[in-house]
Amino acid sequence: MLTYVRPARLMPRFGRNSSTWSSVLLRAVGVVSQESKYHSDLLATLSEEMENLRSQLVQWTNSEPLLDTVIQPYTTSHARFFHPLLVLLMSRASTLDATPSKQQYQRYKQLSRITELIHAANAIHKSVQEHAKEAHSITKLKVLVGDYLLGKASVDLASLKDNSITELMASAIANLIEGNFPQTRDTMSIESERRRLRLQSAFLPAKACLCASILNRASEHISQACFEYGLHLGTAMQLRQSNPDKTEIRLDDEVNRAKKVLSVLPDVEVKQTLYEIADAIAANDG
Amino acid sequence: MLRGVRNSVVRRSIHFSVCHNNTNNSPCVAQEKTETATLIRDDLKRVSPGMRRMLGCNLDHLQDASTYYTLAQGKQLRPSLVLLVSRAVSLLNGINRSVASERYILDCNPALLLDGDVLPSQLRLAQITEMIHVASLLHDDVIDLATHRRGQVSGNIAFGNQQAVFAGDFILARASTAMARLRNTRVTELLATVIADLIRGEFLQLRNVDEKGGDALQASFDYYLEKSYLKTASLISKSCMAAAVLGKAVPSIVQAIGEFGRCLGIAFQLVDDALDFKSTDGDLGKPANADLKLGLATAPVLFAWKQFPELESAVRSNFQSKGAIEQARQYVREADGVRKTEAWAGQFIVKAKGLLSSHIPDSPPLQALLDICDRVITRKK
Repeated sequence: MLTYVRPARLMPRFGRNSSTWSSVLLRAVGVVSQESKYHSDLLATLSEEMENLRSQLVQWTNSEPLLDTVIQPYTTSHARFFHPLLVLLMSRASTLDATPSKQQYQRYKQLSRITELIHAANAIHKSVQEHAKEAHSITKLKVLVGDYLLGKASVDLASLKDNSITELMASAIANLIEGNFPQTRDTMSIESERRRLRLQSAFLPAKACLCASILNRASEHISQACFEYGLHLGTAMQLRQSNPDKTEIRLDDEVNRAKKVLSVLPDVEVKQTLYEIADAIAANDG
Repeated sequence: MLRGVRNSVVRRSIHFSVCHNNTNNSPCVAQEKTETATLIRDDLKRVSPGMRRMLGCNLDHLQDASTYYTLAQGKQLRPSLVLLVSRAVSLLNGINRSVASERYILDCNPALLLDGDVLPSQLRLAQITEMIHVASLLHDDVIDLATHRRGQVSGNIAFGNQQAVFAGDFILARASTAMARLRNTRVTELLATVIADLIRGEFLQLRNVDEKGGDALQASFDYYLEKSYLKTASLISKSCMAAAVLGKAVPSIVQAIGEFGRCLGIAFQLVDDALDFKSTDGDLGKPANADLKLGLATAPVLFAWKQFPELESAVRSNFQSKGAIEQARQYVREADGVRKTEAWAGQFIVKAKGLLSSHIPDSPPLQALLDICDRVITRKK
């Protein structure tokens, strides 16, 4: 969490040479900014909101100096603001309505915040170490901060008053836990490895995209496309980050699948951006 | 009012018909404990197994960690309250209550009897409530460096910090999923705020006093009450309210039940804090005087501070300095802090019982709830 920054600085760092990636994403934000004055604020407001959360924590912990250390797993995460961006884009891509109401924008904003809270809470909680390896003061703070973020996500979800979105996001949290739970890898089958990969990196973006289309009351057809785009894009992102794995899932395959489902979406300008993002992940120089 | 109670409820308590033809209820008193136990025994039996089924997972270790605290059950106070409130509310017509207005329906049904049963959604609510509670225990134990709970090794020791944290999150995720599947956004709203309340309570517990000046002692009592509400009473209050909502109770009943839960929850925490001072390790199933060792100033200490202003610095410093804990215990003894705490709890219980009696008809569920109120004060662990 930082003080307010221009959207360019918010983009997930990606590979050694991030220029292609961040320029693609900037364009994405630019496209939706032109379309509506609300969306241009969306990422900026999100960054502001995350900063507000940090301020709240500073106050509640009496300016605990360890706080910034504790939230580092989130602030340095390669997927920071990735899910909110997906929500932002999908909220435009899954509808023909070019001028949604202000209230509808509030809902997109809430959903994007929820996805970021879930991502942040998981990043912090999964960094908890055992008693011998970590000062108790740090462990304690990690648990508290992660719980705080999850609590906020719960309240935000309830205020959306949509049972399927609550269900999807809650199950996404379960997915992340299962995916990050320590396991002895030697004995894992390829199938388990694949599931683990999806759990860690694919289900949250998939469900984030799906929920954005649900907010638009999009058709089943379109909703499924949104889900699959997020699923394959998220997997591809993870494959770019991690070492060769045992899943035998290929990065270019995932990117192609992501692009393929886009054909179902209406031909709005943001659709082009979705193609570009997929290409940026596949590109060799990052 | 109770003439219409269904046979199943009558069967459960042989003396029920006697009780209700008896205006002063005295034969009921001896039956109270049996009635509570019998009334919800079958439902209660389904809570833990149901929770375990909701926590099934292909990862054995995750399943083991998540279900760890469901095996040694604890007091099951929260599910009991949800189930009893469910029964009580069903006697108020609940799902049989007319939507438009009885006086326009004019469709007479002599066979319609008041239910007295627990809806499947309410049983599920009881499970969700206990899951939220267990999740918070797992995290609390990591935070408090606990070693024992419910007479066994605590989760953070049994499978380590990281797994305990994950397990807590997993339980919460499954509970929230189940909550969404109840398809009642009011209930979701109530329980979602509980989750936020619990964590807010944890943050409040990082300190004993608010930093601002003014009347530090009064502020500390207020702070302590708020913390007690967030950590303990909120879950009880809102889960009982949710039970009433699911039972289609009218808003004034839902509110009264919420207030009842709040008073009961605070009384429960007060007694807990008093017991922490009184008992030795063996009685509680967990180490005694844990609060002081964690630097927490609970009600007995606050009462002692009221009488001995010199205790303030020890409170502000979270009993870190040498001899501070022993000094606090001494002052609590001299100020009779434990008894004052118990008396305060008693006041909350009186209020709780009053709310119940004025909103719920005299019935086995009411008696059972009143019985629980009494037992909250008289319990030893």
